[in-house]
Amino acid sequence: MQLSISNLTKSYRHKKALDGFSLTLGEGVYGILGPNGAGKSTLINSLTGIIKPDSGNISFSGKSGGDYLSHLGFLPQNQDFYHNFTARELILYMMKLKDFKCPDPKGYADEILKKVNLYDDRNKKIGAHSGGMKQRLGIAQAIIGEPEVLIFDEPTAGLDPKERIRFRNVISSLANDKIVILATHIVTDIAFIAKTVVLMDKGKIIRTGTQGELCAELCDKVWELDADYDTVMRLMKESRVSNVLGIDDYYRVRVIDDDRPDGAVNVQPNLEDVCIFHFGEM
Amino acid sequence: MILYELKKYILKPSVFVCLIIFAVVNFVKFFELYYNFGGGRGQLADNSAGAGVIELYEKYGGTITDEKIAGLKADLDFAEKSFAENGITEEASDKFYTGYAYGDKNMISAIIKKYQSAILYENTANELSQKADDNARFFAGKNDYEQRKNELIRDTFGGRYIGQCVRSNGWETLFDFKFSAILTMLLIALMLSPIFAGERADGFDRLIISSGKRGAAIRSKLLTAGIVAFTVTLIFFILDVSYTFTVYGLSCFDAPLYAIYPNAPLNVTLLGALATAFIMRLAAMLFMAACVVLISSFCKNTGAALIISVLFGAALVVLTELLPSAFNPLELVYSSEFFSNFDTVDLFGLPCLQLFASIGFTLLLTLAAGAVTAIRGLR
Repeated sequence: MQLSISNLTKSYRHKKALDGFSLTLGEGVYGILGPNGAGKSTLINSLTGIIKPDSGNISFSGKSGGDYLSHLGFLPQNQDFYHNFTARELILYMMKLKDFKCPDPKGYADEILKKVNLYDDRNKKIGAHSGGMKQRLGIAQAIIGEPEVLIFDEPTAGLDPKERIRFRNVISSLANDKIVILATHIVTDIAFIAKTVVLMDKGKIIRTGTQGELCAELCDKVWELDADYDTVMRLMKESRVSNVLGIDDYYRVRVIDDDRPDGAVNVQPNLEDVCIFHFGEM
Repeated sequence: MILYELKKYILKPSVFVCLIIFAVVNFVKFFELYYNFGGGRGQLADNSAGAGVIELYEKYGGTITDEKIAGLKADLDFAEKSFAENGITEEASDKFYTGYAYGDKNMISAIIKKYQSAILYENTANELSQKADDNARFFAGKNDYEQRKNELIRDTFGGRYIGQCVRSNGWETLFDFKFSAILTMLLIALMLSPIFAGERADGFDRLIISSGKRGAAIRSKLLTAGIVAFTVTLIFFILDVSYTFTVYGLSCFDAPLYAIYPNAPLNVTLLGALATAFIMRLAAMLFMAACVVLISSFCKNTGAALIISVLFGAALVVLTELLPSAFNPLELVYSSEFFSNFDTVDLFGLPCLQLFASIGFTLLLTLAAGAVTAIRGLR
């Protein structure tokens, strides 16, 4: 199974949202990380057929035939659903829309809702659902028909920490034998579930690799020290600061720099450090 | 898919509430017109005059017979003699249909005029047919269109015969009542504005597009729009007919249309004219529905789509005064305009009744709007 993205380019007026983007994806979870305006949504919209790129090619070779979109499940950013539908009705509608046939449609819809822990609320109107429930419903409609490619655009935006964890668990359970693409600017979402991370900015790929590979590149650049307020302010101006933690009357500062700041110790980099290093602020 | 399209934005309590409110408004308007202009002579009249008119038509309406003619003459003589002797009386009397000699004199005279028109119509129509035949011969070889047009007139009017006395005010009211068409247009705008704009507002257009089934989704939306237009048009048409039936008592369904409109371009019965009036209104409302759907496909939210649709409907109403009838789809709701005049348009050298040309043009515009929507889709 392989999804090949070749040299995608898309411009809006004078801005290049995608600039020769190329990537080949196999089975596994891919996290696309980038700041706002990096081109993530343009990439997602191109992959899902919502917009037509100016040039480039997207090709998919899967286990069964049919065109690429018939193998795709998609949860867009900030997706709302029809408030007067129940969860079950929405799944049944999406099954109809995707032309997915099965001997027992209602039974299948219930199974899908069980996977995302919405079975007990299947007859509740969507208008009464919480944000987390709507996101899980979004996942449910995306996995109808067991698509081989799943794309989630900013899937945890607006969710509380508990719902965010629940979402990650659901994605992890679904990711077998699939290509899963998560486009987000929330680093922790990627950190917990993505096998491969793609760093993207200004429409291009900056770096790509596993979390371990990307972190290893910064192994001698990430430092931690305890400092007072004035030192923290100075460091924020002179270096890249990835975290500041207030402890009693001082601050523990995490700095990314080629040179060791005074009194700092070298620490193990994490994905947030990688993002700060490549993007500046997220 | 159509059931889901209906459920999304149309089969909602708020829409049903609007439908009921509009039906009540239609009811109020109809009865306002009746009481202001109907002369209180319908079946709801609570005075002897109204009841008298009903009794007169029950006795002398329908098929014209020698017995009825004799009866009318006798009743008119009695009324005229009583009026000559007693003048205008203030108290109603059981001796008169309307309660008064003066009322009977006027009503019976009116019915007699209808009898005369019906009996003489055959000659009038045949004369017209003969003249048209003469004209057709004149234009033969000189002007094909005029020749064909006169042949059409000749064939349409030849052999016409009215054998019934039809109480016409109910039919005229029904074919003239346009208010319900405006309410239908408003309801169509309300129901169909969200059909594309709502998907964009909710972001659901992205899911439809990414499903790869955009074409099927758009087709089901267009079909849904057609179903909505048909259903709402039918509801209000049935309401109009039922109000008219209740107030005026429609009768003589098998009488020819030209019994009411002497220059009617169609040789159909009044029942056939009723069906034609429904088809005309349906064509106009299908056009409105297609335009609302097209407008919705350009809008990002339902509010904008609704406002633009209502303004578009208002513009159509205003344009009714400015555009030729054949080119304004909304003109089709004015059934009486088409039924009362024999007008033709030149269609590639062939004379086509304006009624059919208007319906055809409207349906073409509807298809064009639908095609643009289908191509544009959820972009």
